[in-house]
Amino acid sequence: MSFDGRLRSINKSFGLVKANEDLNLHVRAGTIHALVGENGAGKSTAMKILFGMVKPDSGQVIYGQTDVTSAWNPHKAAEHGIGMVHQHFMLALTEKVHDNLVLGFETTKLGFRQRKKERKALEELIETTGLKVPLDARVEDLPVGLQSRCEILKVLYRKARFLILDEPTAVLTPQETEDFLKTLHLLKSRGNTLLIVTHKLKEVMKIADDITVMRAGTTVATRKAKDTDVEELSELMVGRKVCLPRTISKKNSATERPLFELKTSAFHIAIQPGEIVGIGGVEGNGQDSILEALLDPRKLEAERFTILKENVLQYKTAQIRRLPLGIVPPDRHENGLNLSMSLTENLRLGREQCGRAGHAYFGSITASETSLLQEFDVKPPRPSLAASALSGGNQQKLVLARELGQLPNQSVLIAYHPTRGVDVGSIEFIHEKILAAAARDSAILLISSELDELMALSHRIAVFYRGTIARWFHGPHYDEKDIGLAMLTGGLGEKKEARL
Amino acid sequence: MNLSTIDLREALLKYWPALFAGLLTLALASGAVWAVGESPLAVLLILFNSAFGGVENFSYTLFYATFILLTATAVTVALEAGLYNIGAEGQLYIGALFAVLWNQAVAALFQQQAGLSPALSVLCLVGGTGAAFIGGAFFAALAGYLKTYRQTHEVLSTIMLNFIAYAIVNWAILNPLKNVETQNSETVWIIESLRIEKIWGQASPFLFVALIIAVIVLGAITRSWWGFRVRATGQSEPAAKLAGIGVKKTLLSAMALSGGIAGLAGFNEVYCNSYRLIDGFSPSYGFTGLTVALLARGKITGLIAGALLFAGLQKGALDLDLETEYITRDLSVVIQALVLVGLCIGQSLKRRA
Amino acid sequence: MEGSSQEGLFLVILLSAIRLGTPLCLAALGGYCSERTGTVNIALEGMMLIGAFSAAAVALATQSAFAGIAAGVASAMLLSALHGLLCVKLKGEHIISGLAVNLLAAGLCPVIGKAFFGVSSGTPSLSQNMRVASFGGVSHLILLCFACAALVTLFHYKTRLGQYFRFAGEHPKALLSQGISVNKVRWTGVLLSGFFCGLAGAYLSIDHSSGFSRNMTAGRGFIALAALIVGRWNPLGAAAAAFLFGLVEASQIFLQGFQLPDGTNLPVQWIQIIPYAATLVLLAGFFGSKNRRIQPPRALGVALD
Repeated sequence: MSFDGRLRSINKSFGLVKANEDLNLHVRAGTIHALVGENGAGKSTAMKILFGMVKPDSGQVIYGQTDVTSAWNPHKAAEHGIGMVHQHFMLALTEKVHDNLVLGFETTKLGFRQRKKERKALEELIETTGLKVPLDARVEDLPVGLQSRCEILKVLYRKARFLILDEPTAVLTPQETEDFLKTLHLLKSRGNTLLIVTHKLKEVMKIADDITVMRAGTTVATRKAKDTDVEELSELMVGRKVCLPRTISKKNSATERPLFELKTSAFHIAIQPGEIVGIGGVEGNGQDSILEALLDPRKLEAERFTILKENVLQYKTAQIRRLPLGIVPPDRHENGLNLSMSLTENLRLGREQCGRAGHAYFGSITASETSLLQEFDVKPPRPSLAASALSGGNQQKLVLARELGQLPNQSVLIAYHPTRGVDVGSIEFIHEKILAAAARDSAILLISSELDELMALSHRIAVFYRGTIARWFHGPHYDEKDIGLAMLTGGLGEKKEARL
Repeated sequence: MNLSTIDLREALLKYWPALFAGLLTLALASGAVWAVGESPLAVLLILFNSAFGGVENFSYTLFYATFILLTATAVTVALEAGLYNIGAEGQLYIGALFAVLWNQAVAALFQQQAGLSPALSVLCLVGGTGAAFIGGAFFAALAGYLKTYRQTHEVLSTIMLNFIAYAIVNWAILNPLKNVETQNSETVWIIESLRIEKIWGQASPFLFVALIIAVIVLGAITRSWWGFRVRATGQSEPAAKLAGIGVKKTLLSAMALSGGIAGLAGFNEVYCNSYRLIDGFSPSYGFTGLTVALLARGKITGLIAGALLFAGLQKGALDLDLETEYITRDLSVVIQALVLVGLCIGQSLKRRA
Repeated sequence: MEGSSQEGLFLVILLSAIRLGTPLCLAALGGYCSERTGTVNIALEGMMLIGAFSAAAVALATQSAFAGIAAGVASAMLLSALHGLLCVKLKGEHIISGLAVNLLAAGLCPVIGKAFFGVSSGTPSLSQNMRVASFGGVSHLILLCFACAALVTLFHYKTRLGQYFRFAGEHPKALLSQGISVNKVRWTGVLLSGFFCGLAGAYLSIDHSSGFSRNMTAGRGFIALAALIVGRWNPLGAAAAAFLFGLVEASQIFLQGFQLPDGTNLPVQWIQIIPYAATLVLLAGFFGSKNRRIQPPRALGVALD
């Protein structure tokens, strides 16, 4: 029994921030409906309202013919046959897959679990859907692809016929994504209705029947997939035409000594002045080892590790940070920023050595700090504001202002996901900054999960697979499929030698 | 006009938790006093009069305030580094013990002389301060070590170390340092030339030292690179690590400084007040300091005001014990607890505002 | 003769290990309920203390050990409700709230004691009929403690609520996404911690001793918390660790007659240090290997927004 899902003139604000404003959405029964939009367009809030996790300030939530707005919650939604796969997996890592799958829908007798009955039902489900997972493994031991499969199974175990999927492919490889999309097709063919939230337009074009575009908290248009194309959709999303920066010309400077060189038993990276080296790969395949190497080179068993001609093998973090070196870490909330400190104090993190050389610390705000905030367009540019008060994109700009804004010519920048969580306008700005740094003869290592970004900016791309560099690709023209294959399998065909 | 109301609102919000804590405590404590059959107003009058009425009373308050200001400063240092130093109590006892040991060393060294020259006395006193500081610092650094290298939560380790400190001090008082002339558990008296006399009623000149320390330490926390490292580490260890801050070193230094300052409170007792170490001399200065530090949250004015207020409470509660039939000095502990409850509620209300 | 006296000593130590381990075990089970659902609980100490005081006071007033136990449990649960209010409902800082509860108990016991009995140092001594009865030489509360350990273990692994407990401390949003109220689960945990600490306190004052004395818990709440950590936040592990700490405490009996090489007895203060020092040593994991670090529940102390 498939049914429609509708949101009618939904309004929702959090404090002063309007998340949704007069939002309308109609998901037809038995179709795959894609909801696309930039970060911060209000997609997630809309999904949570649909699933009952967030209550709208006004408007209606309608499934089939029933208005369920009042007293709607996730449990009721589940009973209605509505399931949701969350962007951040709702799986407890230390618990078994079995327990995670049945959470909230345990089979019990007088409060006691009937694990055998649960197990039988789970095995049947796996049988009919073909989605295989090891039920007795702990979630933390599974690769991300399997974890996302768990999330789908979890929803199906609750007999969901209407699935809401929030950015389900964000952490998957191209090939895992392919598998995943096949699963979605399968589910649709069995009469389920799917609503998928994403910002990956190519995927959307492949699988969706209908596409709704959101911008600034409201829906701007709904199109049939066959009547539209990526260009139109991205224009609708941003409200203007976007162009990614063109690939810069290949720099011919192989004779110069590299500014950054890291050679371990597993990989060898050397970056010339003015060169941008991209690092791709599925997350968790050893990309983070570069950051770990920077944080504590002594722990790393490296053969050679030089930054700006200095041998840093025996350096402590503090000594490394004394070098003209910028580090943009993968997670700004974890270690990129100190959220309770002010903007200026955040600009000082890791800049102590420079400060000590120049001036003593008096806690007051300097003019250069204020202008740095303005240069990087951190909004609002109030130096005494706590970093936690900024939006995600502005927080990222704050990190970049610190790590990129104070670098002299001929320095080194290690940037993890520099544009993650940043709106489209800022992405262009950040890319320009990175290109400008390269133009000033800096060596840049760009680690990103966005293939488009890597391909647009890098002179060379290395793909990490199981802790080592599986393959190098040389620009300016790349084959997305080849890179994707290398990310998943470590690369087939002839293995190109790394250029030293 | 409009601006000033916003400022007022911000100021109110800033001090709201402490304010709320005060109001709630007043209401609840009055209720409790009324429940045991005393008049809240009378009790409040006794408290106020005994704490701030007259030179003699107020000097007593200043006497307690010296201890509390020191322990509160101590706890603040750790708090800024993100550590709850519940062990100030034990650290101050160890500080006092080291202070007495220093006196024994001085006494042994100069046993022939009847009195020390003023210059030498001052030198020995500075040494005594150092000894007390080192004692407390060492004891706190133990907890710091366990935290940084053994991932043992500092609340548990400092509490355990408190009990260990009590036992060590008790043993030292009853065995090697025992004053054989009395039945009380106390050590021998320190030599006369090292006794610092009170300057005003019960108040000792060490109050000024405590004030200077508080000002310098809090200044260092907000305005030095060391303080920056401490705060950065306390608020986000991973971010501090990425910034190249030696997290372990910073935590250890903060903990050691915290313990050292608490140890100075022990020095104050031995050299400025009783001139010996009496078992159980502290009416839990360490914990009162903790309450004050939590209330003040790194503000020097808050520390000083809090120290005075809770010193007054300490003094007033002693008199309540004498002057009322049903109320014991432990009422001050209940009041402290209520202040913390109020603080908790106030903070969460502030977060919602 | 020699052998039998050694056997006797062994038995004495074992029995007193059980007696001394019981309050630790009960409190550690309380700690399990609270911490496994995500609420840091350093207030075990205070809840035990108020439980001990109320149990003794009510047992004196009613001449009934049962009423004493009930009162101990009720008062401790009242304090745990305060902790729950501050931590779960108001999302305050768990450590500050715990400190407040501990101070409140430490202050209220003498204040109320003075109002009731005229002295602030404790309650008058209880006569035998007001203390907890025993079954074959083993007190009912000790038997209850063993039963509780078994039941909580069963609860943890086999029941639906046990599963919710684990998720509330590990990944509360997963519960929330199923429409299960995390706060309700956490409230249950905190209140249960009060229940068990009340039992532990009552055991101390009307079973193990004959009356309440000032600060009689002497850090046992914190040792129980240490037992929970050493037991890796699992009920059975925590109970086992608690009895291990009980054994350490019981070894004091053996050491009391211990002679130093110079012929004097080991100073009593050194013996007193043992439980605290042992707790520190065990906590610091000097006996554990380095890479097997103890991992607390991931959402412990994390408020749900």
